[in-house]
Amino acid sequence: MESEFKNFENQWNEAMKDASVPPPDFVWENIEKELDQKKKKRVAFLWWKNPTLMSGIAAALVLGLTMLFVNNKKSYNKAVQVVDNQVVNAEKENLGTSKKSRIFKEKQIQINGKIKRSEGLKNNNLATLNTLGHESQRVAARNSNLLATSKNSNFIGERNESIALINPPSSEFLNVASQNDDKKSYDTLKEYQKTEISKIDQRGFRNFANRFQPFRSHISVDFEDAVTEVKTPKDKLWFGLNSGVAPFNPNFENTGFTGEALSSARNDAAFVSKNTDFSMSPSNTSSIGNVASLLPNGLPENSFKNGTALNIGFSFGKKLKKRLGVESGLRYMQASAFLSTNVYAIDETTGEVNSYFQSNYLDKKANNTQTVLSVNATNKQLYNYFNVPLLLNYRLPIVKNLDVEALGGISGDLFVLGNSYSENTRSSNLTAANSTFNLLNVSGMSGLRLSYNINKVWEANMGTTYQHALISGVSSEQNLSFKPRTFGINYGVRFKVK
Amino acid sequence: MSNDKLVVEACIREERVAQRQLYEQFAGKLYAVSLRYMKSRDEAQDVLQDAFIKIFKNLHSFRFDCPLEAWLKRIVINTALKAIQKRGQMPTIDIVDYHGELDKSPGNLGLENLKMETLLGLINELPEGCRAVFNLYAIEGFKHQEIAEMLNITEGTSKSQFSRARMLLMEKIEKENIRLAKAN
Repeated sequence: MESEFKNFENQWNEAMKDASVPPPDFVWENIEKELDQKKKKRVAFLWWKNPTLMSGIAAALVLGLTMLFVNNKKSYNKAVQVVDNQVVNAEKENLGTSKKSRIFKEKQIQINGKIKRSEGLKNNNLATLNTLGHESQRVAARNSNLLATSKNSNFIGERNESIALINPPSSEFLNVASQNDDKKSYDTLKEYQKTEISKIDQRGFRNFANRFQPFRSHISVDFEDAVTEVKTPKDKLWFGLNSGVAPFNPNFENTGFTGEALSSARNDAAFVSKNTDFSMSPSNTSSIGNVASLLPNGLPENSFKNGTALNIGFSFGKKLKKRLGVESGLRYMQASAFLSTNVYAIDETTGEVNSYFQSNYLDKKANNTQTVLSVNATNKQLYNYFNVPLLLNYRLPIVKNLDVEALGGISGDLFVLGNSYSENTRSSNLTAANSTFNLLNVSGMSGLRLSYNINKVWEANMGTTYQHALISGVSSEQNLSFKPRTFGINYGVRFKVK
Repeated sequence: MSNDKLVVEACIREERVAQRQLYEQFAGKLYAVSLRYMKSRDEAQDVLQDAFIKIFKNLHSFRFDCPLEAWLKRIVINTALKAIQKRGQMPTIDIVDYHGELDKSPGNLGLENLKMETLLGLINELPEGCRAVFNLYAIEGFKHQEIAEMLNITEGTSKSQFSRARMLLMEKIEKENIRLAKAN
């Protein structure tokens, strides 16, 4: 039946094929205005559009946080605590009378003046700046004059941005355009560019004047749906292989270690005295029996240093909405860490030596051990896990073929095997059965990932992931918690299924 | 690298000169499309404006697997259909109403004698939903089944609306041709 009307359709199709009606000029002006508005809204996130800048920021983040992990945690904590105490004390003072508030306000104004002249900032210590920062927020909220000043400065900034937002055409674009046979098109382009430059000069006035132009009311349409319909439904499912490397912080916390080790060593002092030729005993045998003389630095030591975590696995995911997706998979992770300790547990029956930490906190079996303090040695520890992450991802396009994804979710972590050894101790394997390590663990995960569409089905990605155990990985009756964390780089490829 | 690709990539980088060039290149044709779907010029201009905003925002998703013009046209059509749907003016008449009209042969309509403005005027005079079906079937070349899915109507409704549009247009064209003949 449809073919009978072919003639009718063909005639109309032919008649309308090249139909073109020039739209009024104000349509483009409105489009331009709307594009400008959208750009202004996104100005705070413009750095997303710059892959080089974003890569730099990501690299700096990774490096910075890696250094934080590697640095001595204790000194960092102390520094933070000192600053925090100062801030807390200062805040307590600030919560006093209104007279104090006025003084702080005056201080703030003085400091602002100093900052404007780029002077004086170096002389202020961190605590003072924090104090004034907190006070500044409270004062600013109450003080309309300050708010007005702030608004004025924003207005100036906004106008400057509006000028900067007119992107000049790239050199690549112009170069290729100049090689194009269509000289007319190129001349039009150059002419328009000149016009744009002259417009920029008058931008300040134009922006002001445009505020009073009536803006066309337009039909509200569902933007997402309208565009989605144009696309073919694909990329719903994907499968991938991925790997990653990260500094690994075992994050053991055992506040009672020193007291327990010391107490245990004193109780076992008799054992030490009976084994004068034991290789780990101090060289000064004349003082055997005097426990204090057996302590190399006076106290038991037990500190952890970060190692490295390597992971490899496969993943799969599904798009839930246009930008939202869910993903999971299976990942094998091997992580290392280093335990530096001078406290050892010697099995009286077998003569085997373990670190006191392992024997007392990690081993499940009831040990018939004696505790000794000796020379410091480093134990290398290995942890093997299977991770099953369940993540939500939100994808935003940056440029053509390049997207950024924000990830967040949880991971189920199966403890497979642990191992510990050093020059002074035997190598021992730890499992969930023979140790206090929990078989099943849960950790939180988040991260950012850049995805590059190689072609329609393959995609390469790289990003950073932060993972932190939500519950302790050991079931210890003593004061021990084990909440490992990693922050590192992940990379992989994906195959998208239509 | 083709000129289209060059312009598209510059538009993705949000270069205003390129955006203007793309607009200048296609605005005329897309405005004509919009005029065919919308009742008034004001509405057609609104649709064109909205469509171009969507185009600039989503150009990065254009994979050059079809002609650029076809992709742009499809966005304008979808935008127009959404606008019509928002106002609840989609066709609902069933095929039974116009069953008898499907068998007539149109012959030569003489559209080539009519100006573009006249042709657009004739289409604009069609009832709203009827006009959408006519545009999609006769000019865009969609099948009734596809139209039914796009407009969320039955295939029968699509056929009956097209039949109705065809009958109305033939009457109008005949009158217009007579008027032209008298004028000459």
